[in-house]
Amino acid sequence: MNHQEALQEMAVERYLLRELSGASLDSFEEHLFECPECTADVKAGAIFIDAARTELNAPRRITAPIPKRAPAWISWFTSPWTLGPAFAACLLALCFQTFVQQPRMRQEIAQMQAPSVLKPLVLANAGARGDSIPEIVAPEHGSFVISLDVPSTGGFSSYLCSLHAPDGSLLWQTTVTPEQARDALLINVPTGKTKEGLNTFLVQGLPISDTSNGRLVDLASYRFHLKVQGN
Amino acid sequence: MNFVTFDASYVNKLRAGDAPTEQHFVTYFSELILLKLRPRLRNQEQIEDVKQETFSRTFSLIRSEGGLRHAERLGPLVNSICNNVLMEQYRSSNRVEALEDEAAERLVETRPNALNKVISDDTRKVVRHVLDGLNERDRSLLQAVFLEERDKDEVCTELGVDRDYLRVLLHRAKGSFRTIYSKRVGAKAPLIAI
Repeated sequence: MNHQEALQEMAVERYLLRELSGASLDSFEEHLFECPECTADVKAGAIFIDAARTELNAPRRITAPIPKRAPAWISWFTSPWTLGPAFAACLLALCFQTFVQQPRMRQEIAQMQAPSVLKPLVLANAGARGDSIPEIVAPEHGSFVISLDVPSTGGFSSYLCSLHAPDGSLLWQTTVTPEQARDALLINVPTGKTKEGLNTFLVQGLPISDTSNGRLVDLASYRFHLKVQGN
Repeated sequence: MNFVTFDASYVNKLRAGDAPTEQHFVTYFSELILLKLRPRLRNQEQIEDVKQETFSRTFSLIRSEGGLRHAERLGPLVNSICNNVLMEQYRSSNRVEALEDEAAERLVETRPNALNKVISDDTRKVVRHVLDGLNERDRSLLQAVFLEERDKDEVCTELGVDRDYLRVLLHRAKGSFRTIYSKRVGAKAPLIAI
């Protein structure tokens, strides 16, 4: 047997597996003793098998899988100590929306969509007389209408109507064009945007001339009592 | 892997009693003789006896007049002498019988042997690495064949492979072992420490 034949026949592996016998065994051993390559291969194979016997006999060392740990700041979010209260808070919010907010909103929408007779608070002459302060009773979850005159003296490019709460804070504001100011204004005011008590409606004009430097001119101030009525 | 060349110079050194060359010769052929005798003899003592006798006769022949004409035939000469000594060993123990497969299986030396004892820790680590890289079926196959020494045909049938698969598996495992070992400890390091 020569080296090429030994390779083709996998003679080294057959020898190590003790599959060779008789003439084939003698032939390979004769080649083996003169072939350094096959000798090295057989020695390596024999050592592998001997060491493998020991290793295969030993209990297999299995490395426990290392769980992928999230960064510290992410693990804080996934901690049961955080997740528990977070879920509870979500559940609470859900219940509040389902059983409190949504029914109330439905009711408000229903009220807004239902046809109703609006009795406007006429402020047109309140400032002129100045002797009496009108009062209006507005539904808590509704709106009321204010009717007022804008003193259209001319010379203003637009008008600013502002509603001030009893404490003087601005509650609501809108701009009125000179065309709208020609007739009495009807302003629908949501009760939610107001505060109970003595409110003030201020009408200011923005002069056309540049001399005012954009300064507003007070034109009228209307006061009225607002009383909110619960549904 | 360093391959040795048995040429006239090498044989001349042996004839002259050059100690390093003699040491190399004994180490190189001790492993081969061990591998050759392991399946054929019952115990370590018999193997050692045959090995010593083989070396003794080989040295005598090399140093005799006209003992070895072709240096490149040194290896086959050692093999031939070992065969003769082995036959004499059989005769002396009244066990001259043809080494058929069954007999060979029966005579297998299964106790830890000299080769096994000198396998280094590095070698074991490499083997462990190679074994860990095998899938469960291949590992079971090697375990059944080499550790449990079960019938190879039976094991192959059980695991749904043929004998060629087993040879190729051994070929690959051996190749991986040699490659990794060479990378880890260098090509010049011996596989076993003798």
